[in-house]
Amino acid sequence: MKVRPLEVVLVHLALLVASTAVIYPVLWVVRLALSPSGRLTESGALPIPDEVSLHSFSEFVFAQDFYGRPIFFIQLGNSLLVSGAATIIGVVFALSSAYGFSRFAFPLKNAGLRAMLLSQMFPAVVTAVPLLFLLDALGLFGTTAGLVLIYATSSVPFSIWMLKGYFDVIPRDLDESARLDGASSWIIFTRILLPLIRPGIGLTALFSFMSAYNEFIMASVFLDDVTRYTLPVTLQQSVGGFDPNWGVFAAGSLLLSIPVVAVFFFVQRQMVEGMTAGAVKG
Amino acid sequence: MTEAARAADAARALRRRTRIFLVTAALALLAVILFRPIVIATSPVPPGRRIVLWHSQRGAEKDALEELIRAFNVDHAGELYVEPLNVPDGSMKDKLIRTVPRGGGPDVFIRPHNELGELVRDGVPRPLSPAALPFGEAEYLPGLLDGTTFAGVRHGAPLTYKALLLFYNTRLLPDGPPATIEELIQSRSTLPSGSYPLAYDATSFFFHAPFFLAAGGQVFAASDERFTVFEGPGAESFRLSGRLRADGVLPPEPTYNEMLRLFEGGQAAAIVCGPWYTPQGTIAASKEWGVAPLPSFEGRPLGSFVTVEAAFVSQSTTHPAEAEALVAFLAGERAQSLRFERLALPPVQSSMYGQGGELEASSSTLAGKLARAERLSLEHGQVTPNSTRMGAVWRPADDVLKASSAGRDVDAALEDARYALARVQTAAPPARGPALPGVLLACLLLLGTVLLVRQVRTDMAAPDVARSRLVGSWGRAALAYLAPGVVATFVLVLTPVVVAAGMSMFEYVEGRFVFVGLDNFRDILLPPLDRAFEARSFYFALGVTVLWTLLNVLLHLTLGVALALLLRPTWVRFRTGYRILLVLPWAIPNYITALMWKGMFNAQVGAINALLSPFGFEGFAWFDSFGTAFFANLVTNTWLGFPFMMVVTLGALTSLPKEVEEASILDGASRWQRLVHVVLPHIRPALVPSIILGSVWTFNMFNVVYLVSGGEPGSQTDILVSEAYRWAFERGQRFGYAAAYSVLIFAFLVLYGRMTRRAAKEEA
Repeated sequence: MKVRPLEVVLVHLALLVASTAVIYPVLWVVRLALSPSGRLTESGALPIPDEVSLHSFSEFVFAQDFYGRPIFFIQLGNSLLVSGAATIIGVVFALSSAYGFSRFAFPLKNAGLRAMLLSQMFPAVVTAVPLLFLLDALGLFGTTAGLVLIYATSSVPFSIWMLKGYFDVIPRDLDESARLDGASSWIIFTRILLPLIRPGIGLTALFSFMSAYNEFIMASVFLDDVTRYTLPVTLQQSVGGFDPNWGVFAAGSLLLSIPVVAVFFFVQRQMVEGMTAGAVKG
Repeated sequence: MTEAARAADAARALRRRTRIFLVTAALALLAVILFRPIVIATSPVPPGRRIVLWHSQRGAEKDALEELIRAFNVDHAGELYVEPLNVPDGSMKDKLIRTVPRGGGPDVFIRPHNELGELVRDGVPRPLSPAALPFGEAEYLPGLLDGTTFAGVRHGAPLTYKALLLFYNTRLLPDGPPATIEELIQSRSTLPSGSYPLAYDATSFFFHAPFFLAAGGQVFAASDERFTVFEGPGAESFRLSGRLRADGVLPPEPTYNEMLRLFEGGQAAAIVCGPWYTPQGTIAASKEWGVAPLPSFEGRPLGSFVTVEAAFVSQSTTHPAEAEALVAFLAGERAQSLRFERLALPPVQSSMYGQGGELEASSSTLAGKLARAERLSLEHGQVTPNSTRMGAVWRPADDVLKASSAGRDVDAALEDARYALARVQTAAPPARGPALPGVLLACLLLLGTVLLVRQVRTDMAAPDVARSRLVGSWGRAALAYLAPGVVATFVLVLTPVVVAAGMSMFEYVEGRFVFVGLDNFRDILLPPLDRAFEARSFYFALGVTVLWTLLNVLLHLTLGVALALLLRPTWVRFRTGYRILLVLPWAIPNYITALMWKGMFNAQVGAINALLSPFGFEGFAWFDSFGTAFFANLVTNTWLGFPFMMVVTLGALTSLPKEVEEASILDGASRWQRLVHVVLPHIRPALVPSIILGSVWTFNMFNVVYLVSGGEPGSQTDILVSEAYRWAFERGQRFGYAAAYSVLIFAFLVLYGRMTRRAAKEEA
């Protein structure tokens, strides 16, 4: 299919404009992170820094706890562990339930799906208190496992909804023909359907990962050991009170985003390139 | 090579790249995750009993505190050791309230005194025995111990105090610091243009308090703790901001950051700030600044609300004697000297001060001058009231000041503020009988069971369900697949929702929950008619929220789908690069980006006004009117939200088989027709769940509204969920009220869900 040069220019122009508009605030965050005073006093329309200093970054990365341990790396590990575990558990649970909702008929199925959606509608402001009570009753208050559980289960309803949508797109005939061949529901689930919804899984996992990774409110109330803290908790410490340290806050936020961007980079390649290969084959 | 072979090659290469990436990532991940256990295993645990100290200090203050702790540990080596935990300032109170009453939490904590009332009500601090106080009561500066005492019981030992003082520009005021505000106002004539005699945060009650107190204002009536902050001479003092600004004494935007910017740029002769501030910028470089006590105003000396930083012992401590020893040490002589020398924080013993408030030890150093200024501020001011109801005063008072500074009607603002406080002040609704909640619960359970049974019977009659019952094992298999997710949801997601909904029929009074039936709902849904459609009422917030949701979802969808379509053609180069860039708003935590957007919309130094200055936008105050503040929130949330729609659309687009599109091209369809009749209908099923979820999230999008506009002006841009938050945390801890708001939000969204489903069914 021939492409007109005008079209190429227009599309690139549109994308450039959008990218610039999108990256503009990010550049301001970068400038704040690089400013020696940690404050944005002089400014204009362009986020070009007058002086550049990396001390906000180094202050965040080389922070030490009371015992002189390199706390940033410990907390980075915690963040990755907690978010990763929560994502894996949440997505596995959600996949299994989404398969059930999509492929089986049973009483209260619609009611169950509605319940999943309804659980998203209640503001988290007030549900935090009973949730913490519940975890205390389960004896999990203050443990990393408890935090993983909170994150995993809070992402399950959303994940079930999204994944069910992806399952629904695949025609039932595929199931039927496999069943005629003698496949069990487990085989259909794992060998046939799962590979086909890989982009959906990637997207859902990405979203779960991000919510768990960036969350700080629950984490800061829940955890009581500085070696168990996740990074956002320490990040929040740099602001608040009379004299917030915006430079460290900005630097820390940028560093915090790197794993998320990395995961997105991987997922989107899976999504796009994995699928086009499959489409040609099919 | 055939196309199929090339594609197979590409797939193989991708699989190999994927494998390499996964292995490297897994190894790196393992290294990072194992870091903690290794470090912990190799750090020695000191011998003796462990005393845990929670604090929120940062920077130099934290270093000084840790130095003191280490000294204490050395003194008590072998018997006990103190381990500090750094807690974010905003979470500390909640953390204490959630952990201490249940036996957890620290042994000792350091906190400013003004939350003491709430902490005592929730059973957090332990009354302090006289042994924990390092100095005799009479030795403390007057008022400091009152701050750490609640309901007649002493709970904390003062470590230091912080009061407002004057920072002045020595070049603009060569004759030294002004003794009176009137003198400062007079100096306007000698100042260069573009400079202001006085700059302080005239939109904050905390900074306005010196004028309030000097005018004779009182926050609470002495006798019955009734709010009197908006009555009498105190109320009149609120007009001062407007007057000073109109007279050109205050800058056009008298806010905290603007005050610092002007001062550091040498454009403000004097500012009112606290001891935590050290000037930077040009004024620091030229060293042309000094500190002084607050001047007098209308013949009366000014003093501020004083914050007492204190150490408390928690109720849950298992080593009270040791905890008190730590408190006594942190509040004692050695610590006082260290804090003064290292941090210039004033000591608490009155014997250290001379007649004129100066520190006998070192009156001429900066630290000495700071101490003197704060001592005088304490003398003429008062320790901030630590009542449980104090928390409800700040925002209404700030709103009145904002109205005054912006030149709006102060009388109307005062009326609004009185109404806001009246709602907080209403005596707790009478507790209904104890049997009633039980009966109600039983009825609800009965109703729930009946509905459930009916639904099961209806579902069982449906043909596809009936069929599956015949194929037995599939039904049981369904249970197995569904169980993990559904059980997890019910236990850890839906149970808290049900409990929180139940909370809406209670009210949180004096530390206990009291059953009030539907009173909260009545208050919210049936306000006085003249207030029903103004800001802070349920209906106003509902309208704003609906508008907010509609506009946002529309914008997210349009932008997301459009950009995904632009990124689709394979001939677009740097696709991956664009995709990464366009997903950044989603990837970077929204607490920093929302704050950055707020900064960009700043009237004086914001980038938006700088960009739009050719169109006359200099100094445009975005947050002063509903439309523009709403717009600022909208822009920010659109920026944050469109990547999600874009990514979902990209995913949906990948599943569109090429053959279908190619067939339509062969049929002669134009680009536009292809888009509307082939592409969009195909991706719609994949987008619908995201649109529904997106609308629900936007409806409840708290972060953006709270951080960007902060509800300005006057709570007009607050949506329902931020109103709920304010009731829970800013207006006197009305958790039952907040829960009732949440139930109403929920009901509205359920209704919306029903309507969209009906519309979808009709279409199909």
